[in-house]
Amino acid sequence: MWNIIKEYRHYLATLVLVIVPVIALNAGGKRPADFHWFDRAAIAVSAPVQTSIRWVIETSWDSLQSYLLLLNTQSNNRGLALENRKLLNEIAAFEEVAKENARLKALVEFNAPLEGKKVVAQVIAQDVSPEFRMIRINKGTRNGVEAGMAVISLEGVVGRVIRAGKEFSDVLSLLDSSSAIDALLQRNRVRGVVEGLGGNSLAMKYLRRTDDVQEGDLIVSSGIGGLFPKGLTIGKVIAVKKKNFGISQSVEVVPAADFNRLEEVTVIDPPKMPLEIATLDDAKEKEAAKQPKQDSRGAKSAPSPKAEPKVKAAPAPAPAAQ
Amino acid sequence: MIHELYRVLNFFLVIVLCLLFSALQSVALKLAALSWLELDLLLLVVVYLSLHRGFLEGSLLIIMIGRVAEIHSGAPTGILTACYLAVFLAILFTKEMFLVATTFSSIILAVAGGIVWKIAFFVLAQRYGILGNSWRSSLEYMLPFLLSLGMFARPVFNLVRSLDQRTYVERESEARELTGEEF
Repeated sequence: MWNIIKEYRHYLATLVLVIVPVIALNAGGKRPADFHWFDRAAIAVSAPVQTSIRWVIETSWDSLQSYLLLLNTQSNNRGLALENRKLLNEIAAFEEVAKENARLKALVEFNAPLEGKKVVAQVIAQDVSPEFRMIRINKGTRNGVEAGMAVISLEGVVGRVIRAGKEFSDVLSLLDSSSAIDALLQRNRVRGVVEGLGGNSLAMKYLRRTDDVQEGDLIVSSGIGGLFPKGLTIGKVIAVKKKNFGISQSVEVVPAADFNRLEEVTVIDPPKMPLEIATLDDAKEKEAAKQPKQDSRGAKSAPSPKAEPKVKAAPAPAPAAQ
Repeated sequence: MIHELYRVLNFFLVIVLCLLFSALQSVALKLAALSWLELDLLLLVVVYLSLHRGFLEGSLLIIMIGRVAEIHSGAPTGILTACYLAVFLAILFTKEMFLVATTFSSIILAVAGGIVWKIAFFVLAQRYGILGNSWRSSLEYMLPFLLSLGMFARPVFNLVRSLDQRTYVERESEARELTGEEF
């Protein structure tokens, strides 16, 4: 027995090594762990590299495009082409700046009606594993980004922050298979849950078989849960499959945000809806009203004037995004 | 003394190389034109290390590589490390049973490592309820994933080998294979 153990000790030890992370997985739940010292050191090395690689790719691509534009001009007149190249390079650079300005301006205008804290960030990297759909942005706790905040783009909902470092944050995108968001069909207000499929599309679930869903229907966030404001675009229905049996139907959705070309996003922390605050206030006041009754002296005290129920007007729902 | 220093240096250089690979993998290889490749450079490094490192050093390196992958991913803690260690274990068994002497056999082993990785991932993800709907897209991209592993195995192996040669680890590894010393 001992000899067998001795002979296969390395395999046994490796098996133990495999089991250790599995136990960590069991203990840690489904969420990725927060950053520790090793993680912070590793990110301090890789994050600037990620930013540099992205910059090199973008610059090379712009230069290549400019160069390709110039090939014909070069054959006509070398001198003129040289000047042209310089000018076109400059124009390409200006165009890039202009495009970025336009995008940022549109983003600022888009963000204006949203209440609460807003942080504009750039996407610098995506998930290293093909099985998960996280994206990394260049803003962290130093800029006010915290875990649990919502992330949106000009096109629509992107995801939510799952962990935040000092300078960088990780965002679980809508595409990830562990992502789910309460949603509405904009046309007829039918409710469902939009879930990621791990690929490039989403699925809207928990729709009844009798619900009227058509291809091209726009899906918006319902606002339930308080993470995403109501009316933000999530995506568009591209396929509806109804089986001959069952109580639900399967709906395939293409996300509004193009995750392959995502450059700028906004991290938002919407304030609690006034209705929720009112409900919370009422609950606190009711609790306060109960307090004198539970007095240790046992005497029933009259409720304080503050305990009188207040009726607060619920605000009109926010208009849905078009 | 110099040899030991180089050996320690090699350990850290492999980690730094993996950090660079993960940066490359999460930016350049996620461009729209290349994202279909689903290439896992870290897995190729794991395969190489399983073939050319002793048990203790190999397992330590692979645990650290697993953590490097996890901090660049939305994956729950432990799952990627466990998958990489499963590949390590599978290659240790394979090394015992088959002769992995040529570059071609190493490439085949890299592809097989990809299959083991996917199986380990499916089993763990299913067990912990994080597989969800992702199995469909995983299977869809299985072929490009394996093909890309096969295509990039040689350049990645050569890169890590050149690092080993510069830090004298490769000579030691060759000597161990020639003398038949236990890993």
